[in-house]
Amino acid sequence: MIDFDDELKRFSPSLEVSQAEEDILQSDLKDISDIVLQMTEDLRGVTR
Amino acid sequence: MAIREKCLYCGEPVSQNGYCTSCKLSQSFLKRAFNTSNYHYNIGLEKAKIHDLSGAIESLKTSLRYNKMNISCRNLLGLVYYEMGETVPALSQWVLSVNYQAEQNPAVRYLKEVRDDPKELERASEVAREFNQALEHAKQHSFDLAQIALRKAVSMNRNFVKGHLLMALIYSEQGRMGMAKKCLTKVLSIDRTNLTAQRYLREMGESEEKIVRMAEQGEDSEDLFDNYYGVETPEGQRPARKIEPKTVTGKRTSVTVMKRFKESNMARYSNVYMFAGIVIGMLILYFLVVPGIRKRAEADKELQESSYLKELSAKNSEIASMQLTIEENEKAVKQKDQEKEGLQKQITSLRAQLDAVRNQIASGGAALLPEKKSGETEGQDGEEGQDETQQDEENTPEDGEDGDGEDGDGEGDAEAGDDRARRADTAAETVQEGIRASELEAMIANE
Repeated sequence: MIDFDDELKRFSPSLEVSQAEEDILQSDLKDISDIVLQMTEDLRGVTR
Repeated sequence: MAIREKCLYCGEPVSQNGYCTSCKLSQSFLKRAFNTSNYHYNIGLEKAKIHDLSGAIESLKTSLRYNKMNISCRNLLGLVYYEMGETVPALSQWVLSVNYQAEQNPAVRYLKEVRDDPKELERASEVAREFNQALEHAKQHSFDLAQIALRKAVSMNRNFVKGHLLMALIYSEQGRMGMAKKCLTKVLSIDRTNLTAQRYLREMGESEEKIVRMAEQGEDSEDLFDNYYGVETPEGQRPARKIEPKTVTGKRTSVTVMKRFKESNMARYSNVYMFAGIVIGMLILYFLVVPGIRKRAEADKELQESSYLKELSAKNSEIASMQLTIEENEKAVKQKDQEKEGLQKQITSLRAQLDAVRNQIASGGAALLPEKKSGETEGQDGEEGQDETQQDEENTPEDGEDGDGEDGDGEGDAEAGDDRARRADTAAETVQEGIRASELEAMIANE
């Protein structure tokens, strides 16, 4: 049976056009290369 | 150490051992990552082609995890979002895509097309606003208000998946399972593997086969609302469909079912309705109100005219009566004039008589009164007439005494005495007439 209130919580508000810039700035833009780079930098810092 | 190529990640030169001189990343690692990104992009593209939008989004997001600068992937993700009615996430993906690669990028055209149509942006904002409002109403269990807002949002963007899903949820909460299923079918026609829609349908007791069939067949979006009479039955059974006209053609009696009633997009035709309303209002004004006003004005005019006519007739009758009075007065004046003329004639005749009498008196008096002094004016005659008479009377006895005294002239003296007496009487009458005439003259003068 569908629990109305629980299901309702899964709905997120839609963004208006004026909020597009905010959405872009907040979006996670890391890919695997960024992660590996960060890891190697962290390793270098540890070895030094 | 020879420099052979540029780094795939940062664009700096790559050393012979295959590592970037700047970021120190392995180029073989980057190539594998980019290949994996392209692999997931291809999967996403295939899913998008068969309208499996949720699956496409998942694949494209995975692709971007391997290569965030995969321009095609970002552009496709934007298009998928746009197809699902999510305009802002679509714009975000295109903006990022243009930011990574400004030249030879289709996202530039997408953004330009969206920006060139301000109504499109406004509509996207309005859809989001209505959806958020509906969400709030749904949280407060104000289902009617939520449905109104959702209908508005969905009418502005028929592919707004989130709106259809929320609508289905509200319908299911109200026990209107048929309508909920309709909304979910619409969702599946846009996004075939929408997990939420599938889950709802499963909860409503639909089999997997039916769900797949519904997703394949889809549903006419126009039939989503108000296709049935009354409220849904609690069991989820559909109530009677609306009666639709059927055409029978030829002897074979082939029945052609007409298109079902379609819900009109109120927002799309609002201007037309407004214009039609204004036209109808003007027509009503022209054909119903204006004749009434004219009639009233004419009635007022007629009333005024009749009142004026009454006033005019009253004035005319007054004028006529006044003219009659004037005529009567003129007649009276004429009569008076005539009377005056008659009186004047009488006066003149009386004066003539008076003059005659005076002349007589003057002539007679001279004979009767020899002792009367000559040189007396005629004006004194009237006043002195009586004196003269008295003198005559006084003189008369003396004459008698004289008669007694003188016997020879006895008879002649008596005749003369009688004659004098008669003359005296006549003179007295004349004097009286003169007095009356003078009184009459005074009266005329007064008049």
